Amino acid sequence: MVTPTPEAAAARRFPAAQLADFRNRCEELSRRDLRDPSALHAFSVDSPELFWRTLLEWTGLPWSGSADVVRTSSDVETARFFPDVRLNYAEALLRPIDGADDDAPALTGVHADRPPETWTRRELRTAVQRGAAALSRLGLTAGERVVAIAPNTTGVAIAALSVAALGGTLSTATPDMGTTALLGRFEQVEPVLLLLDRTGMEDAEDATLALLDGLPTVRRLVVLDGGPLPDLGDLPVLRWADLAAEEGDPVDWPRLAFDHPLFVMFSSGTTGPPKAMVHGAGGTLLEHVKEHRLHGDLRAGETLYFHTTTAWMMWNWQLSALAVGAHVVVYDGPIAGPQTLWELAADHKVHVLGTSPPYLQMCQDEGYQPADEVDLGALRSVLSTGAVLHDWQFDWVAEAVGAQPLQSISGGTDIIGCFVLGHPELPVRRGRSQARSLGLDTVAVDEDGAEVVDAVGELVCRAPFPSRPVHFLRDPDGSRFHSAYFADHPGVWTHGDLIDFAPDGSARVHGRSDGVLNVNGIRIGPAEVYTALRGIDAVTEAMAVEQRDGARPGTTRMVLLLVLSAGARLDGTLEREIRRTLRRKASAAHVPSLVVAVPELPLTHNGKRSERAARDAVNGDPVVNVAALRNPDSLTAIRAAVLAFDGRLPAPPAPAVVPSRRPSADGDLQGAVARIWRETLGLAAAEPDDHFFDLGGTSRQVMGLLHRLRTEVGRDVPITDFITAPTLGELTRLAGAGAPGAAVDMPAAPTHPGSFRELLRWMAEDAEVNRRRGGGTLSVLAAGIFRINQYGTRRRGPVASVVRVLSLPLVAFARLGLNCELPGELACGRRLVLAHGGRGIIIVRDAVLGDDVVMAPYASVGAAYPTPGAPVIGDGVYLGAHATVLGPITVGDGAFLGARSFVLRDVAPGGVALGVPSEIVDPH
Amino acid sequence: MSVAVAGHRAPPIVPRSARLREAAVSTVRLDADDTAVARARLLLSPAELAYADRAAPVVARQRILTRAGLRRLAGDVLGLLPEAVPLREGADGRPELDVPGADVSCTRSAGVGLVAVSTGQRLGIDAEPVLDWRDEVLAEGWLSPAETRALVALPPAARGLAAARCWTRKESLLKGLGTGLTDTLADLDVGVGRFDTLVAGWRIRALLAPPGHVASIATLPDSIPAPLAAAERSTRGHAHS
Repeated sequence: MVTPTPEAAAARRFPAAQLADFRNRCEELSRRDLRDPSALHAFSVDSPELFWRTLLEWTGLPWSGSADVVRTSSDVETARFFPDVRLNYAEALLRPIDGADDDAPALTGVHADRPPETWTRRELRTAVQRGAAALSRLGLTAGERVVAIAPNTTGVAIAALSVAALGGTLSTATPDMGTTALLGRFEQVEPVLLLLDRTGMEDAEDATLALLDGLPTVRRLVVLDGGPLPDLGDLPVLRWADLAAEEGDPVDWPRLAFDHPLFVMFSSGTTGPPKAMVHGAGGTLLEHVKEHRLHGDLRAGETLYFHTTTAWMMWNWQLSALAVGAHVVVYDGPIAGPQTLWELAADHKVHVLGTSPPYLQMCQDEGYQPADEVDLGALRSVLSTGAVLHDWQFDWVAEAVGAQPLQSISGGTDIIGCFVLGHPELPVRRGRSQARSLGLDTVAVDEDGAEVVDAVGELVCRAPFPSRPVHFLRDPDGSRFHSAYFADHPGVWTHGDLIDFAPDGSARVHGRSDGVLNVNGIRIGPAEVYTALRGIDAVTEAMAVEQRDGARPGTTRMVLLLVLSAGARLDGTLEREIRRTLRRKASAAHVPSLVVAVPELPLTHNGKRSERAARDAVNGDPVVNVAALRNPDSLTAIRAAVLAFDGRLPAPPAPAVVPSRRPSADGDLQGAVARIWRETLGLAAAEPDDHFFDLGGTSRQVMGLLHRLRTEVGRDVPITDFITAPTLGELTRLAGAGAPGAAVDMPAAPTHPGSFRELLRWMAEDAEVNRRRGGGTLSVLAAGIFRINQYGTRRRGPVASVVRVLSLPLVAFARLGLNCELPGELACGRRLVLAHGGRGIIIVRDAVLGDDVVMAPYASVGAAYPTPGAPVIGDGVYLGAHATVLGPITVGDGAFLGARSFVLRDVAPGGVALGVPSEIVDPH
Repeated sequence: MSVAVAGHRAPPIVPRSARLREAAVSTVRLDADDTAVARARLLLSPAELAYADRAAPVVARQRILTRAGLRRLAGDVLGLLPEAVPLREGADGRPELDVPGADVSCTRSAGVGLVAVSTGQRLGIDAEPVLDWRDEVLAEGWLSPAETRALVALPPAARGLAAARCWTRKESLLKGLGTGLTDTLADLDVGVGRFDTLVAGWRIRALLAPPGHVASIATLPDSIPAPLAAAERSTRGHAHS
């Protein structure tokens, strides 16, 4: 545990948390003991009418009408709350509050390049009164929609509240989203008025025109900045500052229906334009005030800063803090470094700071220690949302910031609030959100809809709650609204997140359940990726999954798994084409970090693709539902492929040339040097002009390269000599291999199975030939054991390691029982025949064997002591019984080495070696 | 991986360098997409582009991104546009700044690059991935007797990290000196631990590196960099990129 005990936490919060006062009231009215947090939550969901009514009254928010009817039904989709209550959002935020000093700061705007400006509560109220009056004079009435595009300033906050005061409906975003994205959202809103702050906008003139072109319903443009007014022909353009300075009578701020539209928020769907969700004034206000006061214990006079932009629901959320009398700070500048938010918190004596996991990770990565650098004496809690908050980040905050609770909160634009968030009386558990939101019957369920505890399930809400959207735009029959939340599990709201709840009510969110990817805070619909790839013939199937980015903990990246059509290869050209296509047809955010070709994608028994299994495999996590898969082997291939690609060197391309392990005719030394070079760099081919560092070699690898040259080839090449011209040709020359400019080394055929699947294939082939030509079960056994050993030794990765360990007893058996000495490191091609169980066969690990080699009993291949170097044996070579091949020689393809032959010199392809010592005869 | 508050991007974070007392160091992600690489290319000089394009595509991208990152950092430190930073290639491939008293160094390791800029001293940095330990490392000929003893004294599970660290300490020193790889690496005794050390007047210390990697930085305090005479330098032996 990271933070102080409940007693200490409670002691910090002197006087007692507001939650305690609310709880007392509930206990009075319900005559129940609600001291246990889960009891209080249970009360809030099993007595919803009493809970919500008590909450409305306890908050002291201004409203008129009657709260007798709390909700119209218990149906989560259609129930409405407080149909007879009328209120005004702006009035609730700005009214004078007992306990809130009207002349204390209420809103402060901080900037990167100029001093901050502060409005007291009284001044803010006056500014909004003037703003509302001005907008009213322009003709704005309740129910009309307004769009505001601005950075996070006090100006846009005042304008927003002025719109809300009149009962207008507001939708906001930030200018750097770009015109296309802005129009994608706002053309659905059909606003009558556009409020625009062009500060920091690129090509502001063109952008303004483009925006107005795309919003034909706009009757007037009001500019919030001080720049020159554009000339828009017959469209009136005004400046906010001028409007606010006008004299005029104040207007009434009407109290409207609880569900009167206040905000239009946007959430990206997986296909098509973003969903436009309309949120009601009452639901928004009540939910926010509940969260601020009961969960965050925010009080009048305290200062809140939540790092956000106007495009994100946290902007609306923090603005509502004015309703509790808090002082809200807004900041329109960039994050210049890890110090930015902490300095802001110190400068403005922030009590509650809201940030995100990526920001905290950046502070941690850069070694910035906030408590050492700035005075955080006023800070009493830190909130985090937007991505997964990892366990180690809780530790870091405890160490680098202090004992303040770090509250991980999670919810959604869809509910303009949180499902799980903090609790003022409970300690913080690492990696978890402390409590469910009161009044929301949130649980995790399995596929059948049954509640699960202490296990990951689908996040659902089983009862209606006030902050559901009132409706979607462009959804006259409510069908889009229905399919967004109510189609998966009947009768409940399905949010689309995976979550687990512990018995103590704490929760951890585990990711999306609908396949929507969150790549560093940007939601990507996989369907968009697949649609974009449809035109590429080489790709038959694709699956996009999130992977934790190993190089940057706390962030995620997109991995694209591809199944290619027969004969297609994932080379540089195809990969580039894929990336280009995605960028063009979708967006830059849809371009994956990693593109990997796999033989097949995981399917459930009904043939549905399992993104979850693929995602677990890609992250190296154990796959929970392996039993539910039709093809669990697909996961191994995925894991291996991702491992191979996830490194510093390009994965070796599949060999395109006729396999022949035979190096050039000139010499085995050259072949050995080339082989060591290839293996060091992880390449399948090498040419004399290849430059070590240009191919991705590192200085450290030079040491390994030269060391191997010393031990395997017996040549000592000084480092400085190699570094002068680090090419293969030069290295070969320095190693004394003979004439420079020797022939190109042939690309090598595979010397061991490259994957588990291949292992199985190779073993099947080996078994076949050993059965036919090897003489039976023992040969099959010997070959099989060798192949498993080879795979486990020469391959990297978890699968291979497991195989290696499991193969050890088998190898011991082969050595002792079968007398067959084949080392796992041996480079050996396919279909190796070990006659008579491989009895007495010994091969040193540095030898190289081609495909289709047949070895009779007691054949041996080794070095000719004291010369280092082992034979390279080609394809289809036959070694008779007791044949002995020694030294750094080459035996060509198809050679026949008779029984008891003793071979110390090269044998040409097709050559025959007979007798002792062998007289090499030409083939006839 | 969850979207806690769905649908919107958190405000963009543009991290700047962590300022060590002597040098500015920053991380460069090398797995960026083609747009980022294309943008990075625009910052490089023709010579830098030629050097990058010589290499295999993956390596070329890494060189481009690292060099662009170096230019951006140097631009930040010196108050110049990245394209305008006067970087040139020293005789051994070591990047040099044509600004008196300022020096640069960079390194690449897997998907991450590190770039460093200092004003007032020479420096070298190196990052390496932590590889599995193999006993052959002791025979590769770059460890001093004391370092060998130190490695052998460690539990096997800790040796991979210690060897990688030792390598980065030597390499960063050599890059700072500008000598390149030499045959006398085993004569350099920089130690396998993570603590600061002084070697021939140079200060070698550990740098924060991504998980699975180690990094070190070597600086020569309080001096105006005096380039070594050409004859004392060896030729290109590092991924100076």
